[in-house]
Amino acid sequence: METAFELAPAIVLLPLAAFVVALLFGEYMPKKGAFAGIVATAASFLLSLYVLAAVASGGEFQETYFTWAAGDALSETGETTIEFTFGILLDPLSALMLVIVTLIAFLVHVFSLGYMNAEGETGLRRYYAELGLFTFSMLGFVVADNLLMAFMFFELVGLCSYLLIGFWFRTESAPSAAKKAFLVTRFGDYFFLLGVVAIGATFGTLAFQGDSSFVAEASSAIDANETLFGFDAETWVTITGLLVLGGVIGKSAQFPLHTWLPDAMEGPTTVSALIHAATMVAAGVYLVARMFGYYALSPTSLAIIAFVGGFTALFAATMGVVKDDIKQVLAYSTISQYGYMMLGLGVGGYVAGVFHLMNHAFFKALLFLGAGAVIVLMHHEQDMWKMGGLKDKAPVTYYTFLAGALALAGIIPFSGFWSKDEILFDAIILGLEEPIFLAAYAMGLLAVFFTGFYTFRMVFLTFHGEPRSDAARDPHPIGWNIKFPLVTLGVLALVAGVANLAPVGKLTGLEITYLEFWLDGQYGGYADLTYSEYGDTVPFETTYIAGSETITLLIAAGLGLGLAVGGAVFAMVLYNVPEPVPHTENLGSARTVLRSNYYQDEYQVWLAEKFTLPLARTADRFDQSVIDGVVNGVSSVSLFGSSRMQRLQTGVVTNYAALIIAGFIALLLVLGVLGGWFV
Amino acid sequence: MSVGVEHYVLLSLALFCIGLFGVLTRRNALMFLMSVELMLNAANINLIAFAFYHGNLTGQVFALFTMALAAAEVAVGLGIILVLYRNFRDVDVTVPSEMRW
Amino acid sequence: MTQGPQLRLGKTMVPGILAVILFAMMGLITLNTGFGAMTGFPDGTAITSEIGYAMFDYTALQSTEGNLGATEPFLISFLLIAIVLDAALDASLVLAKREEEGEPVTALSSTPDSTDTASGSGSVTGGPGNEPAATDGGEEQ
Repeated sequence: METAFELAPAIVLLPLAAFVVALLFGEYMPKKGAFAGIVATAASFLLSLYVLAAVASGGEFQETYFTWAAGDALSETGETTIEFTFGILLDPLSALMLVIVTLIAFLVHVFSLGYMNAEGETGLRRYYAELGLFTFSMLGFVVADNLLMAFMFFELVGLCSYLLIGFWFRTESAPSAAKKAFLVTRFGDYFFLLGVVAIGATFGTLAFQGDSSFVAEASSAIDANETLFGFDAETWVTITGLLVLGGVIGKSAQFPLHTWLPDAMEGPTTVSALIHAATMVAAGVYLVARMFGYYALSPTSLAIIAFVGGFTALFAATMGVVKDDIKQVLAYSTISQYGYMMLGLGVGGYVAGVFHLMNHAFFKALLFLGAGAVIVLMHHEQDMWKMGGLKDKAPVTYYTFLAGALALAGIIPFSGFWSKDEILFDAIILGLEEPIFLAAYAMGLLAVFFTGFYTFRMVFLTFHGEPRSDAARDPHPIGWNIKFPLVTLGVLALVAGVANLAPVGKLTGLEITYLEFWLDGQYGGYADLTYSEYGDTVPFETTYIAGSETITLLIAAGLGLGLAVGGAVFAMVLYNVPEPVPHTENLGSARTVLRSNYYQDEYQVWLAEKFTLPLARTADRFDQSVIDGVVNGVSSVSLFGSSRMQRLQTGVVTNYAALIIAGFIALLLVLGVLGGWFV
Repeated sequence: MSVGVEHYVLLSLALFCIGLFGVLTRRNALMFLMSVELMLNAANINLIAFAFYHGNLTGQVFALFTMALAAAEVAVGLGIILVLYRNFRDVDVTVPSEMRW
Repeated sequence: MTQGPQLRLGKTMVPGILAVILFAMMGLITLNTGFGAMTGFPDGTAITSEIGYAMFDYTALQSTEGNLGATEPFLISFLLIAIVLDAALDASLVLAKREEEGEPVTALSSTPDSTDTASGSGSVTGGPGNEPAATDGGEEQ
């Protein structure tokens, strides 16, 4: 179906139009630009479904719309030209992501009617305009067909995040949090830019797909044992891949650039749901999935990705255990779950990572929107110790939130279980062969316990027990525009797992792993961007426990499920009581360390003050004294010279005559010596 | 020894340089003018000498015209000195020093 | 007892060095130039008559001995010099004219409040006829 692909740019441009409309006419619109955003995202969602259907019926699409620079450039592999273009690439991965992003954007826009408009917030024109701009940037990033365009939209997404986190800019904390988010992600993006430049300079192309993509060039360079910039080809691929990974780590809030995400909760909860749960932080992981063919060429970068992911999963899960603010728990949960996705991708589980990305987008957005509903119920109180007993007062919120929590913890049959189990399965079958991945697997497994624990601690403190404050006793009513998105996402959290029931498929022999087929290009798509192609490139071997896939499957699933249920039961024992007490205080000094986020924030500030600040001061002094000095020196030489030359004009005629004669003598001398008059 | 043209040239050169010396060092405007006259006459000697060197009378006729011009120039120059005196009350050439920045 | 004019010696003589240097240089150049022998004028020629014939374009009367025939005619120059001398005379008169009302007399000035015919003329070629009452110290009229 060609028209779907021809209309594809509209998916990206409709939210941009909504941005312009909200910015220009928002003041005059009844809901200050909300309807423009709702209409635009709904239209984008329908178009994305259409594109999904087109790809499913055997299509793929790549088109360059605009070449904004092209020229001669000699790259390391011998390409003599390079082009910078804007184009789109529609294949199974990007079509899937388009549907996810547009759906969540639509639901967040609807939710905002109840969260922002109904609560009487001001500055809504700005809010809806920025939401529209963000949606545009994220969609542009998803369909980008080359690395430079992806980088540009990556940066644009970061800008929108800054604008939206700092939405309530008249407070003191929100602009500071926005700045922190921007700076930390920018730090990672600096390495990303270096990686883009390195890849461009090495391979002469930045395209993701095709025979002339940098992935194909890298693969042929490695096969031909070329030396790139003095490094062995595989080493150079690792280096550039790690540089790009810097941006991924920043944007997806992995250790050590995770410090911005908890502070980003200063923004409105709808913003947190859209940006910091489902879409913007997904951009980093999506980029790794998009470039998976490139990362698959180098086992070192895969190992690093897996290790960072596993470590972050555990690290953030431990911190989520001691938080009292409902949004903070969810923020650390986000960091931890993205760690899982990185772990999944790092062990070569491309399908597992993307599956978890999809499920997490749904259940985390659900949880954040549910938290938003709770905040509206609680008259904008976010401390869980002041909540309680809300399940009777807000049943829709409670049941949808519970669905999200079950999915997050990974309890069967909710979607989170299937994807997390597949990640852990892929990790263990690799870990048994390569011990380093076993460490990452162990960290991921341990984090499952903590995840179950903090998730259900959150549920029980918020909804169960007796109400602990007046706001909890008498909650604010919520309307359909809050309930509708919650119900939609609740249903998705329950059933989305059906997309890839891999254990069931393996045990029964049924071919029901639809997502795997989808990503393998069996419905449609490019041959070099499929799961099997990646599987061939990944240089790892996997083994099963006792040589049997079934046994490994059952053991891994059993461990994962058992730990998750164990964490949930532990939380139930501690907190599912009418009057829960803060048990975390029993942890003593460990709790202090956890509450201080392992002092990571202080550490980063110390780094900035000890290294960046003196460096910046030296650079500034160099610039002012040396460079400005040279420039000023030139002008002062000129001024000095001219003031001295001025004195030649004395006004006395005989001096002028003397000067004429002197010049004449000099001229005669020169002519005489050159003309040989004196010899 | 026979008098070659270089002797005449040296003579005219000497006269010219004496005149030039006067132009450069004298401060009285009238003495300045006299030195200028000296330089003109040095040129005249040169003209005459080379007329004899080439056996051509053009130089001599030209010298006559030069003399006439010198007279005209002196007339105007003296007029200028008069105006100078009226404005600056002094015939010192170093006193009027306004032709500068 | 009057004091005779004193020659100013000392620092004012410094620019004179340049004249000395010029003399030395040009002298060296002259001595290094190889001039030929002097071709003088042929014996028995009346130099002054020849000058006269050359100046007034009497080519028929010019002698043709040696290089004398190559003397150029100077009639036009003669006439021009006459005009120039005339102009110089008028210029010097204009410059020398005393001011009548405290203002220096300048050529081509046209002061409307001046009733003096001479200063209002503004043209140099007014001829030598405009003799004002040139007395010492400008007197009011």
